[in-house]
This record gives sequence, C-alpha cells and structure tokens, in this order.
Amino acid sequence: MSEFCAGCGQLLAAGDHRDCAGRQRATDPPRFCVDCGRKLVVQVLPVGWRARCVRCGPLSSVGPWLPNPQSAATGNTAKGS
Amino acid sequence: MAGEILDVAREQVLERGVGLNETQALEVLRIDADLLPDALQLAHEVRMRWCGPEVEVEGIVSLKTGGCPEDCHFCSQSGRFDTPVRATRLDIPSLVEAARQTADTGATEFCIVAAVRGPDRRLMDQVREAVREVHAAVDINVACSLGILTREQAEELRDAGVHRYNHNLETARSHFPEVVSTHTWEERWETLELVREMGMEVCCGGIIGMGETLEQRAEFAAQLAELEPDEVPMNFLDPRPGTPFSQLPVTESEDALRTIAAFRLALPRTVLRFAGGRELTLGDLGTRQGLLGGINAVIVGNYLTTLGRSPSEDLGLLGELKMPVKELSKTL
Repeated sequence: MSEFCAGCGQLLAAGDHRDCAGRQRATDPPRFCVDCGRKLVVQVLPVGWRARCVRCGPLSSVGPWLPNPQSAATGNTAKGS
Repeated sequence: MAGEILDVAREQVLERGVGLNETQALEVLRIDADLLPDALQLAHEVRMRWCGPEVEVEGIVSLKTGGCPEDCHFCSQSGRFDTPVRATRLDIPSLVEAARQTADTGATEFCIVAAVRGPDRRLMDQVREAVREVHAAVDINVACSLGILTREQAEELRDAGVHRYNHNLETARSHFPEVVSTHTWEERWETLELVREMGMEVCCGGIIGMGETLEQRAEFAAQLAELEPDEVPMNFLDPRPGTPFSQLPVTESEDALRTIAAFRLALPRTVLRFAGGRELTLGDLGTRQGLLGGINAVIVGNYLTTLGRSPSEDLGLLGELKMPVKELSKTL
C-alpha cells in the first residue's frame, strides 16, 4: 500500500492530498515515488515513459500501442527491481 | 458586420493566398461564437487549397530533460523553479529506439529536443552522434530543438543532416518579457534567421494562453507570418506545478479554436501543427474540430514531460477524416 503521495511526495497520513490528486492529470507521468516519497527521475518517450527512484528502483510504462512486442510484454506501469 | 471578415478572408486568403494581417487576424479572434463554425470551415478550405489534404506526423523526444538555466515561466524544466521534474539525459540507443517507434506510427519527422539555453560542445557531439545513428537505423527526417545557436553551430547541425530546426518565439514580441527574462525575443529571432540562412527548414511557433491579450495573439500571428516559417507548432498552456504560470487558467476550447482559425488564415501555406496542451484544452472533440479547422500536422504520442494521446487514436481519427498521412519521400 502506498505511503506517499504521488502528487507531492509527502506522507499520505500527514495531510490533505485532495489538491495533489486534482493536479495530477492523465497526461502526467508519475513524479514522486509512492513507496519512499523521493522525486523520480522520469524520461518521457514518444510511446511510453520510464522512471527511476534512487532508492526503490525503476518503474516503466509502455502504451498499449507500442509496436515492439518485447517491450509491450512488460505491461503498463510495471515496477522493476 | 460581424461576419464581414470571413467574406474578406474568403476572397483574400482562399482565392488569392494572401494571409490576414494583424488587424484582420484580431477580427477573427473576436468572432462571435455562432460564426466560429464558419471560420473553421473557411480555415479548413484554405488549408486544403494551399497545403492539400495530407497531414504531417511527428514524434518528439527529450535528449536532455530539466536543469535548464533559463526562466521561461511556462516550463517545468527550468532549474530556477521548484518543479517535480528532475534533470536527466537519454542515452543514444534509447533515442534511436524512440525514433524507430515513432517511425512505426507512420511519422516522417523525429525531433530531438534539449532543455538548454543553447548547446555546448558536449551536447553538440551527442546530437551529431544521435542524428547519425538515427539516420543509419530508421527512415525518418531528423529535426532538432536545442535553443539559441551560433552561426557555427547552425552550420554544424545542417552538415550533420538536420533538416529542420525548431525554435519557438513562444508569444508576441510585446508579451515576451512577461514570459522570459533570461534572454530576448530578438535573440530567438536571430537564431531563426541563421537556421534559414543555413538552408534548414524553420519550425517556429509558440504557446497560447500565457496571459496574452487577443491583440497580442494577433500580433504574434502577424510576426510569425513575417518570419514565414515552414512549420508552426501550436501549443496551449498546460499550467505546470511549480512554474510561475501554474495558476493561469486553461484556454477555453472556443478561444483555442478561434486561434487555430485565425493562425491558419494568417499563414495559409505553412504546416500548422497541433502540439502540447491540446488534450487539456480541446479534448477529443476539439482535436477533431481543429483538424477540420486549419490544422494539418500533429505530434503523435507523448511530449517532453507530459503524455499525449495514443498514436493509434490520432491516426484512427485521420483515417476517419480521410486525411492521408504525409509520406517520407514527399518531405525530402
């Protein structure tokens, strides 16, 4: 279960994050790690994005339209080790 | 009469191919809502007459993200603002893969972008390598957007095979100081002149909805017309958290459509491209209306720091509208 807000990186238990959720749009990749609250290093690519938390490791997403079957097999918003 | 400007535009722009001037463009920007469908229809006819039915498809990728020393108030990549964007660079193999995926969508343009004031030696070397590797692996035109250039850098990019260079004026000259303080509109203009002089295609547009007045929006259209760029990317402000423009309102859909019509009527022969912010401002319906209202190019997929519609959605829409995607051979 997530401990940190993906919109501001602060502890979910520490306050009201409705405004953060309101600012987070479908067009936004993740910017904060929900496990540790650190700011992610995010690379937005033409057909997906990949992100990395210095502590928790990589995240990745590929769109369902990605024509590369090998990449598509990783699925959406898959968290790596 | 409220609709008189459309009669003038029909004769001047559609029949003779002469774009609207600043005063005339302002009249279109102020047109009543009930006449907006007519304005869009006319803009579409102008596009079909002077550009044809084809749509140019492009993908973009960020080679260097964040950490920019400039203070463009709309940009989450400025190192001067406390935004969620962290600085990073893309490796060349990933960039080539991004070009391949872009080409797989049918796109003929791939633009490599870096968040910098202007390129340093290290970035120029990376770009040269990237262009070489993309050309070796993928059939696609390569464009670049690397900020302010010196003459030597413009020459080097041309010699490296960059066929188009993007450098947006962003907004009207009179509004630019409200948007950027670390460099001038005139510096941007000088880079655009260099790009043309070196024989690369000029790509220059801006962002609508940065607090400019309608008069300044018309001024911007006229300044772009004076520049005569090969392509005008039209962005709509997506107010990003942490930037000075984070609290600006999103442009109303009708205003965005008026702007598309006005810019097409001011720039009858240019490639007018849907770029960032359209998902937010126009949604699905507005995207369709824009493509039927003067737009003849799209950025497919994601942008530099935000996500776009899936390419299949946009390509499906183009098919439905019977707008063929421009082929690579015709752009060379």
